[in-house]
Parts: sequence; structure tokens; C-alpha cells
Amino acid sequence: MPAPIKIILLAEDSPQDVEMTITALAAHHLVNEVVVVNDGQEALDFLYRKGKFENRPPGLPVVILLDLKMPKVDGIEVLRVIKSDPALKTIPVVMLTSSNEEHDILRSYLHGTNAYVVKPVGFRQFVEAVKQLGVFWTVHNEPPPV
Amino acid sequence: MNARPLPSSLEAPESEPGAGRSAPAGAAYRGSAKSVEPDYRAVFESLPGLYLILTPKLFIADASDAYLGATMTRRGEILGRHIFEAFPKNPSDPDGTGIANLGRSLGSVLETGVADTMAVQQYDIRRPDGAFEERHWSAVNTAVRGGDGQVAFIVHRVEDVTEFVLQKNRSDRGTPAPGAEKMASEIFLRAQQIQDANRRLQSANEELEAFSYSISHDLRAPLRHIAGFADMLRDHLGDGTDSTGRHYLETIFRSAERMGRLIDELLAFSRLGRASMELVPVNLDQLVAEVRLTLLAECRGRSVTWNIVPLPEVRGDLTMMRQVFANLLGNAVKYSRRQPEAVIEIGTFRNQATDVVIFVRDNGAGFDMRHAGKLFGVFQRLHRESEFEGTGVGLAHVRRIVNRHGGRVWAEAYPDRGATFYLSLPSPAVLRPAPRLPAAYYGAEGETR
Repeated sequence: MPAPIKIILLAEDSPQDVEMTITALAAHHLVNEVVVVNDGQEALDFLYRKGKFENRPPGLPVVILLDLKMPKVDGIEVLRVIKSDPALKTIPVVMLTSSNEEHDILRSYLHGTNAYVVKPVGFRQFVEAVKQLGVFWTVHNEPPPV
Repeated sequence: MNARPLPSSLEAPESEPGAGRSAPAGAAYRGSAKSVEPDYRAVFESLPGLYLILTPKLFIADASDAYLGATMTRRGEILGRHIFEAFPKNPSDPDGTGIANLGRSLGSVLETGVADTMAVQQYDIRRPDGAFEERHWSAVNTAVRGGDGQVAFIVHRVEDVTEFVLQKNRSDRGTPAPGAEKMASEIFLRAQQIQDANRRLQSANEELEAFSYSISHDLRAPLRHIAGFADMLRDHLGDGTDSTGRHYLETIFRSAERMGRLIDELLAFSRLGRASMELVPVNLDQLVAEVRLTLLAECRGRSVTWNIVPLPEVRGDLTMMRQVFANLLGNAVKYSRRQPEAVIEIGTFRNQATDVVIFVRDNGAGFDMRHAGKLFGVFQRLHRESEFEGTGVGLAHVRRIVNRHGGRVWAEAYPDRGATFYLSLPSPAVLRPAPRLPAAYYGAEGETR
């Protein structure tokens, strides 16, 4: 049996943030494993293999990087759906967002996020944060048994 | 008021509004025999409160029995009539403003859909015999929206406060009303004003909340992209750029970083106004000692003399007070760094026998008093960034904190001869007076207690 592909799901509506995140992941050779979706609805479609992801191969991401503020379905709503579905709730979710508002941090944890990372302003710090996230969740972290 | 087309069904005054709208008897039972739908018309009419229902054209659609009783009218007389026709102006009081004010309030509710609590109004009522009676009312006008989102009706709820107002007027004219009743009328009138102020405050707070959220999220994202892509460009160009290219990139990067700091500080400043205060005894001697420890690194390699007298214990929020002294002492250290011998004094005196004043004086760069008005504004600076770094928020923080403690701040300075910052706290905030001071520290009054 081939080793399962380790997918990182990145849900992010800003193309600049997507490019920066991918560049940072590429710097650490994690880029082939990133699936980018641009809003919360697409994130859920990917997870449930619906809409344009109807025919994707089965399997779930090892980690989901979720922006908080997205059009249509926002990050909190996606988080809520994931954490209330027994089939998805074991996937680690990292909120990756511009907001350091206490209110956003609190409600993310209340809805079961595994981590909350405020995107740093400096690119080097951003690369470092993304690298640590990517390496931690895809290399060091032992995923829950399927 | 903006003209807005009204749904045509509401244009014409209804001669008998609601007639034919009551459900057939059988329809009163929905689904199961257990859930009985009340006859809302009967319920409405027998409400103890004084209610009048108006169409958007201000024709009377219905009234509660209590309203009819209070205005000495009968339902059949006023239904379908325009409110100002049914309740005309008192001809013997041509200067009365009741009608105009009510019209304005109803207009604002129609325009905005937001309920309006009116100040107490005199609006005299015509008795059945044709004579007018002096009446004072407290009214709230509320919009009821239809299925199309437009205002379909206005609920005009009033309370007859005539007795209270007459009592108050009598006591104002020198005929003392019995104390309790006078107080009751005062309380009633003030309660109206407080309710109104609270509503405005709440909506202002919600706006501010949305504003700081927007700053935190929406403004930071493009900034991060500027910094990030400048950095990516630097990596991309590698050795392929000259010193000018590198300088441009560095400038972009530094400016973005500075704006990030400004955003953070502005956000902190806006939070400060909302943060709840926990008032505790604050030992200023200890606080100043703690703050000085944080400034050790900045003082290294310099000659800084601190002259500090024992300070009073005050009542305040510890975190906020620490922020005040961190700013004032930090500024004193920063702006005195070009002095070969920096001297920083911290002293205290009593002012007007009520306030306690604490001051922080340095012999540094100072400033021209002509610009003192700008000193405590947000992002206002009296020195160039290249001379003394900073964002211009520190003293704005100081002022806001001291104001929230009921005190005030001010400063005195001369260019190149140093600056003195004073903060006064009202004496209830002072728990332990400072010990007597050397004469040099006395204010004009010359006494400490």
C-alpha cells in the first residue's frame, strides 16, 4: 500500500496571502502537498468531496490552515462544522489570521481550534511561522489513527 | 427628511383600519386544538399602557382603551383621522412646540426605522366640551416593519406625566412640593434622559468596536503584503540589485513596519477607553522603582541622576498607572539623552488643597510651549523621528488614563532646557499623603496638607 499523501488544506481568500504562504512552504519543500481553497464554502466542499472537488481522490488533509475572515462561509463556521463532525473533528485546525482581537481568539478556541496564529507583519517572521506550522503538523505531529 | 415612496396600500387613510382583517373564528385555532391564537385586537385594546398605532402617513390606525381614556376620546372619533387633526394645537398656546416636536420624532422614525424616545413634551388635550387641558407626555415612537422591510406602522406609546411636571413646576416656583414627590418627578425626568443617553452610548460603543476590528484585520492585511512582497523581492533579486535598489527596498520595509506599530498603538489606544478599571491602592514609590528597572538598559553608558521624593499612595488601576509612569519616565530618559549629565526629578505637591499633583521633570530637549496644545494628541509629535524615535501615542495614553481617573495632565517646557509633566489626581484618589517635602518642591500654596 502506498504511503498516504500528506495534504495541507489552506483556506484563504487573499491571493497575496496565498502566494506568501505557498512561497514560505516552498522554501521548506512542503509545497506539493498544499491544496488552496478561496472561501469557507470551498473548504467544506473539499472536505466533503462536493462541488468542484466531487472527483478528488479520497483522503483528508493532515492539517487545515484556516483564515478567519472569508467570503460566504467564514473561518469560524468552517471550524464549527469540522469540529462537530466525528469524521473530521480529529484533523488539526490552525487559525491563521490577521486578527489579534481577543474576541476572535476566544471564539476560535471555544469552537475547538488546535492553534491560533496571528500572521506577523514581517515576511521573515511570516516564513518562520509558516515553516514551523508546516513542519510541526506534517513532520513532527503524529496524526490521529484513521 | 428624504422623501421615500410608501407602499401604496398604506397611502390612503383607512376609514376603519383593521376592519375585515380579523381572522374568521375557525382560524383562531392553528394546527391542534391546544394552541389557541389569542384575539390580538382585543388584547391590544385592553393593554394597560397608552398606545396609538399610526400609518406612515400619520393616520390613526388604532388606539388602546387606556389611550382613549387618557385623551378623553372615543375610538370611533379618532380612527382613520390624521393624528394632528384628531389632536389639534391648543389655540390659547400658540407657542406650544408639542406638535412640531412630535412631528419631527415621527419623521425621524419613518426615515431611519430607529425608535425615538422623546423628551417630556407639553401637548394639551381638548376636552369633549372644547376647552383645552394642560398635559405633559413622555413618548416613545417605534417602527413596525412590514414584509417588504418598509415601515408599515408606528407604535406611539405615551405616559401621562402631567402630575409630575406640575409638581416640579410648583416647586421650581418656590411652592415646595412634598420632598418625596418632588424627588419622584426629578427621577422620572432624569430616567428618560439617561435612557436616551445610554442608547446613544451603546450604539457609539458598537461602532467603535467595529472600527477597531476593521483596523485590526483589514488594515493590517495589505500592510503585511507590502512588507512580505518587498522582502520576497529582496530575496528574488539577491545579488542582482545595487545599493540604491537595496535602499528602496529597505525603506519600503521599514515604513511598513512602522505603520504596523502605529496600527497596534492606535488599537491599544482605542481599547484603553473601553478597558474596565480595577481601582486598588497603588504604591507609587514601588511603581516608580519598578518602572526605573525597565529603563536601566536605556540609561546604560549615560550619566542619569534621579532625584525622587517619597510619593503618596493613590487609588487607581495598577496596569494603567504603570503605563502612565512608564511613559513619563521613559520620555524623561529619552529626551534627556543628549545631556552629558541628565537629571530627572520626580516630586509631588498639593494643589488647591484638593488635588495631589505628581510631576516628572527632566533637563532634556524640552519643547516650545507654543506647541504644547498638540502634546497630548494621538500621533502628535513635537520632535522629528530622526531626532527622537516614537509614534506619538504615549502621552495620549497618559492623558486618557489620568482623565479616566478624574485627574488631568499638563506640561511646562523650554526648548533645550527640559520639560516638566504634571498629573493631578482628585484627593479621594489619594490614600496616603506624601511626607513633608523640601521647600523646593512646594507648589504656590506652599502646604502639603
